Amino acid sequence: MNTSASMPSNYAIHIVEKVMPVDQLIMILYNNPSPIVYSHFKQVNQHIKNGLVQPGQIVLISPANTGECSIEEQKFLQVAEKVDRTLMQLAASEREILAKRYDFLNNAASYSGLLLGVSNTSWQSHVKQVKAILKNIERSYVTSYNTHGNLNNQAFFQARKMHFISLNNALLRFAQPKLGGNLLPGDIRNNLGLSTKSIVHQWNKQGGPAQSIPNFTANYETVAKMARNLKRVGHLGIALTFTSGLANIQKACTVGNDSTCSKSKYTETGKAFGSIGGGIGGGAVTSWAVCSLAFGVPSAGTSAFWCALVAGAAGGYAGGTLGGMAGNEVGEVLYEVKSTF
Amino acid sequence: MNNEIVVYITTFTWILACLGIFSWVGIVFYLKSKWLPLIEDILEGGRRLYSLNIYLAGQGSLHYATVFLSKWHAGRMNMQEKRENVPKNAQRIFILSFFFFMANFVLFFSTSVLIVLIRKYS
Repeated sequence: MNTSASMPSNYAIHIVEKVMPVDQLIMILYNNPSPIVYSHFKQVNQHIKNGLVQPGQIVLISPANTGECSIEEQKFLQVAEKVDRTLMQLAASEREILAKRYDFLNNAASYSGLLLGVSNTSWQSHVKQVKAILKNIERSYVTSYNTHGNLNNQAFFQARKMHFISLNNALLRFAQPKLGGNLLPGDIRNNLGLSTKSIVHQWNKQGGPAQSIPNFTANYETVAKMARNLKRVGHLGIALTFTSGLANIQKACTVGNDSTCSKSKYTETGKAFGSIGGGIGGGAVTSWAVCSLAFGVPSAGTSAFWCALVAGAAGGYAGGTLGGMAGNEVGEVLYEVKSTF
Repeated sequence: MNNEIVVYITTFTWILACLGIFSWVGIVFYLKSKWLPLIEDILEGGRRLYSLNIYLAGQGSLHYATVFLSKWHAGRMNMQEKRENVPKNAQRIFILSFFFFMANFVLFFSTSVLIVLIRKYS
């Protein structure tokens, strides 16, 4: 939940995370809502169409005892309609990511676009690795069934055990207690919805050589979808650095005079390149100095990954800030040189 | 030396160093696709970490260059004997990219500090 600065303190803005009837949302948001709350909420949030709220939409939460519409509530409606227009450009899955990670995105945008890119790209690579292992598991099931006509042979058990160990290690890197931890191969099978008996039965029903494990494809399709979405959000992070520069140039060219506009082109471009160059340099050196030199963290396990992420992000932020400041000055010097000639 | 000349030299060096850092990213892309998986096969027994993405590859290229450069660091990471199996030309590329990055990094940050201070106090 996020409170807008222009709203009085007893109002709040909620960002919807999933599709649901508006009445259900009211029930979730308010404690024992009265009929007045229902009618007032719907009146204030008139941008909600067909009685359904969509992921990413913003709704205004007024105090439960409010009856009449205030000026702020009328202004909010304009904002909400703008937000809805922006949301129309996103796919449904992207809207959900936006809603669920709103605070993260918001914070990252305020500090450094690069940081967001780093964390999401790292995540995405791990998802890719898990995807590859899942494909290998599927391949060993299919190969065994096509070669031996059953799944009851030593070669298959060995291959499956090896893949499950790799999967366990890869999942451990996510540091997700639900999927990681010290899972045994059997537990992984349960988590993925795999049952040897049911698989054989369903394959027999299909007839012909087995192509894929039923219901299993859905598992890695979900993972792939997640990677795709996060990749797009990751790119957004890198783009934010340049977008903020472009916005400042646009602002200077709209509000200021010609010289302010021309100068801002130099300073903002210098700042963007300085931030990114400094972010890359600072991040690489800090993660190398801290993780490799100071602590000598081995690449096995999760420590190296998290050390690189934390140290790299901290160094990247510091380097980006200094690089941005210097880039701004360099842009100014170049502008002065250009003005002289 | 005239203050203005110092500013111009610093600005010019900063731009070169900034371009150098961006070029190093290109080198890391090359190392990631061509050499990092092989080096992870030899030194890490096939365990993938630094070749997973470009952010980790940056740190990885510096890390392995240190392993190739320093006997002590290689011993500390249990890689002293294994590093002998890494092709010499691959070691040279890692070491060169390490010095290229460090030179640009030092120039970029020293000129950054210098230019901010000069402009602030002049």
